[in-house]
Amino acid sequence: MKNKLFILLLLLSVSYPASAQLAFLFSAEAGLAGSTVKTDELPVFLTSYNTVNSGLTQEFGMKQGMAKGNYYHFMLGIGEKKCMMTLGLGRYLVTTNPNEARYADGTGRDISTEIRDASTEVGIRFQKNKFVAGFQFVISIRTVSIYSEYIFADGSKSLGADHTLNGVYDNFAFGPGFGFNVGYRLFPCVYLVAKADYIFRTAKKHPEYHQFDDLQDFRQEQNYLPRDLNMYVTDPYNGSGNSISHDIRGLRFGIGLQICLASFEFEKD
Amino acid sequence: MKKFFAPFLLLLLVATLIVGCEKGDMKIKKLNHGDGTWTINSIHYQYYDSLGATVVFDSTASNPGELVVFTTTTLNGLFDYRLCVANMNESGGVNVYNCEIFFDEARVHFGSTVDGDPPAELAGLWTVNKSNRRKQEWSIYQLRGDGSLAMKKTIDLDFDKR
Repeated sequence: MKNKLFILLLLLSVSYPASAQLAFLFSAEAGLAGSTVKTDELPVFLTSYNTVNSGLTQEFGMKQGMAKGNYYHFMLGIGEKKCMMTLGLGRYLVTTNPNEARYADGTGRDISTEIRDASTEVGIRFQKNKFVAGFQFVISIRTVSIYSEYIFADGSKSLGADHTLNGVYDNFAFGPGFGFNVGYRLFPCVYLVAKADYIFRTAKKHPEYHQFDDLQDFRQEQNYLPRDLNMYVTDPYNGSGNSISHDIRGLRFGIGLQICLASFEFEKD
Repeated sequence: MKKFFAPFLLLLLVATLIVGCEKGDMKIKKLNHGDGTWTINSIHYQYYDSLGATVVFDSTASNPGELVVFTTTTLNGLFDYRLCVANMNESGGVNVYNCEIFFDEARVHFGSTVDGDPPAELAGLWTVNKSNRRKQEWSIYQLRGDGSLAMKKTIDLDFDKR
């Protein structure tokens, strides 16, 4: 039902009737981005790590914190000047601060999450005087990398072969989303814009397709982040589905400057 | 109605795929841009005490050689390995090593090819500490049997403008 509603809203947004006067707009936008990191899978690994490493003086927290980074975005608009349909293409790169686990001697492990979104957005943009506002439907290819680094007593960080859990574990999934944007015209062709999109998770039914893997040639086994660290040792080849999956979703937002590269209007016949 | 929406949705899908296409070779381009020659400024060795917390001895090998990274993929091209040549200044002159290199901005791995093995100073899986187009710094760690840190090796490279 949710999928049908999403498609219906998408079709409504693209079928807005064009008026007698057509306006085109092409803009580029860049700025700071952030995202909440909502996940049920990563805490399973973190809990297992905390349990097995019982001597930790600082355990992994279960909340991943806010991911911060930047974005750029291109938009093509067509319709009336005051109300146009938009097609946007954007890239977002955000990273969380490390989630830290430490022993008393300063050794431990850092886990950080990097989200790289490639988004296509379809929406409606309204303009009145200096203000613009709109909403958009989003289809995002969301690539997530989890960096698992060992921390030595002197603070040195290692992603090398010295510890088995070290690695960069990747996965990607399509993420549909919905959001809105607002803007204020600072100069004739420059807008200050703010936007927010909620990116949903997909593939709930088949988490096995979205395991976090570090599939490099120098890793022969134990190339995944485990649900159960004890089983990770006894069954290193992951024969029993002992890996966590990509389920990261959340509110993504950005604030930036939008520059209109081309904007023109003409009368329709 | 379908005729109107089908091309549009197709365009949407194609655009998503194009924008989302992860170019695996983008990261290695940081190493093999231009003529791809890097001067290895130094290799710094730090030896730690039995607790692995304090450096008890360190030494630096200055100007140990140069590294040439090619755009050509090796038989391990599926894993983004590129051909590389290490010209190492060793006793008796410059020794040439043919090897392959993997680089993803977080890690560097030197592997063997049918033409040879990497030099002992470079072999292994390195952690990238600093990565930009003109300067690279990587570290690799050696542990004792009890898991404590025995030695840290840090390599410092500058891109050669030649």
